[in-house]
Amino acid sequence: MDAYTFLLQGLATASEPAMLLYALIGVTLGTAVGVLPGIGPALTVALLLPVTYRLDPAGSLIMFAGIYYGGMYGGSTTSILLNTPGESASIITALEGNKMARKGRGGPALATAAIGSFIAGLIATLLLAFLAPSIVKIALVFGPREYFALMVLAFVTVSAAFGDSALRGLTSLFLGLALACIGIDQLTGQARLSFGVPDLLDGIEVTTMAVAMFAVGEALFIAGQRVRQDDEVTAVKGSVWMSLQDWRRSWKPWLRGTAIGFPIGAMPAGGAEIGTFLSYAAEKKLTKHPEEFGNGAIEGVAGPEAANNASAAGTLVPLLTLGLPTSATAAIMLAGFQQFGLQPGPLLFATNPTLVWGLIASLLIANAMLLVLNLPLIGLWVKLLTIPRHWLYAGILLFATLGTIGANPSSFELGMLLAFGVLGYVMRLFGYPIAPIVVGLILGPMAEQQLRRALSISQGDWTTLLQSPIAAVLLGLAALAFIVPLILRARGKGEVLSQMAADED
Amino acid sequence: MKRGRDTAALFIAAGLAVVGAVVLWDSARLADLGGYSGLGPASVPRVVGFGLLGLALWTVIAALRGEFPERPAQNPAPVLWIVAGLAAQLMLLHAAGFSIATGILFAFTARGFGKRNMALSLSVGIALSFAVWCVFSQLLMLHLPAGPIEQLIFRRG
Amino acid sequence: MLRLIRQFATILATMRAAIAVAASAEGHRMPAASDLRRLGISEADYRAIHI
Repeated sequence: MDAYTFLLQGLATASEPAMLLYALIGVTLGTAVGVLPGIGPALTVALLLPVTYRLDPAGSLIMFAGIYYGGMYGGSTTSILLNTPGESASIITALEGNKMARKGRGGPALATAAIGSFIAGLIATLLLAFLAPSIVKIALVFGPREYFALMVLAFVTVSAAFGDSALRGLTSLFLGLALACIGIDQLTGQARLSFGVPDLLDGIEVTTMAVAMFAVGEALFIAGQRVRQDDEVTAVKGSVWMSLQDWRRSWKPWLRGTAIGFPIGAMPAGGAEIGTFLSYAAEKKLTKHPEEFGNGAIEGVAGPEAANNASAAGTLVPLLTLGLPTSATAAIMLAGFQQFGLQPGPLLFATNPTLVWGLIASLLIANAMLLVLNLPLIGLWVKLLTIPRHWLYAGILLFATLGTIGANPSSFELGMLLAFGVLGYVMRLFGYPIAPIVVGLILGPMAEQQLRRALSISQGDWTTLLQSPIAAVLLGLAALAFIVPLILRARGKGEVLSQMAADED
Repeated sequence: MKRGRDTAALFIAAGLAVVGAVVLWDSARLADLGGYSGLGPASVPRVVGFGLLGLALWTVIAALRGEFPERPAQNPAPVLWIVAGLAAQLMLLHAAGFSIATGILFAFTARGFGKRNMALSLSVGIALSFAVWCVFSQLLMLHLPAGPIEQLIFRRG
Repeated sequence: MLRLIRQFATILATMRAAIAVAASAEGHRMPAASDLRRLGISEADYRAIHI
């Protein structure tokens, strides 16, 4: 059977009323968290993990994916109308989008963002569906050493390659790896780093850590900030519809944004926002109306909005086919799979095709729901922003602790939440990225297990890692991903220096 | 933007070194049953421990060169309010129950974000927490500790 | 050939700038002016966004 048949079957699964309801809840929640500053999709999924523990696995995963897609839509609305991106992937939308809104062209800006997101989501989800079977075919031959090499690659790209500092990325990663060692060793049953505390024997709960990092750390950081602005909503004036001219100027950026965003999302690069910045740069270079950039060019909204949705679908490619998370949100979604005893990867396509293809197909449905949900309901979403910040963050912390208490009602677990929250605050303060510590905690034990398996097969011979061509290539890529950015960064510093020299002249 | 020596970053380096040392110290007392693979339970912690020590050294160098990004100005008071709220919640959770403990967290957080009317935010917080408790412990069957308020309404243990 | 290499270098540099700006945005910091310039983003406009 080919992808097409599977996808049709998946659509049948995803159109069951219960699944449709889960998808609807997911996209609605996702749009809401996209609109609200301070909560992103990663945090929302982390908060929902303990709550969905008893629900249907397929339904819960469909809901999580809906949240991810919805977050990408919701952020654009507030970017355009308020110059306040709810999500870092929508920052660039605010640049041109808010200018358009101020000129009374808010309607077309919102429309090109929503339609562009829809088209990008549609193309990228279909790409995901048609690429997945071939990647799965390759991945089926993967043994422990190939998986270990893959995880090393993920560690390097998430921490060293794509942050702004290899030192801080690696530090965050190694803290995650150290935390991952806590608890009973999977192979020998010895307690590691538990210092006789029984609560530590089970290891660090991924959800506690994620909620602490994303909710508590972020709330502390925002509360401590000195600058505060008041938001002013720019009312949508003029026609909501795009003119023929708008359509003509939008369709190419939509396609280009998709082409940029999808591979960036699929690469272990972390975050959908990188694609949005690249798309903006590309549109500015290619536009026939350069004078409009900075004053509300529709291309500057259409391209990046398509890119961030395509990235979201791209992220799911390595997550579903290889079990490899490439961003914080994907890492939390992996924890969601694991909570139901499922391990995403090639085997899941074989053992549980109904679930995987139902999930992929539900993305198509969620995408269509989002288009319907977003355009007419913009007024409602904007109202969400009138919730005062103090109630908003107090509510966020209420639900953050609810998830932790619900999973394990002990003061010790809450103490961990507080400790990791403070850690997250300090990390934010000093510019440490958060994704590597989460990815390290989740992938660390898996990488260790695969390495020990690979070396037991080879009876302790380390060269086995390089004898498999796939593992060798992956490890080579990891080495490149570590070294090349170091050189690029050094070059970047050189550019700054020459710039400064030029300024002094 | 090169600045001088970064003392705070030196503290981070010291912290990393301590964590690395603790990981190494703990791995030293593990019986290393490598088996066929030659890799035992202590092997990976050892790599992580030495890695952290190395990163501590790298952090010292970066701190001395002033390579850390400039830190945004922060007000300590709101941060402390929220930390105090979380601490109060964890201490009161089992004695006072979910609603009161979480209501206090809610009010302290709102205070941290500039809402000064504590009486109002405390009552909103307790009411909201109680509603959440009802939904999640009664409908979704999560185990949320009950206190006087919860026992008053639902007369069960 | 040389032009190809130069184009490749430009793409890499743009990529690096996008990554740096993304990392700064994630950490609520103002990105470096040179990175913004490479991406064609006006510094003043970026500053006006409420992040």
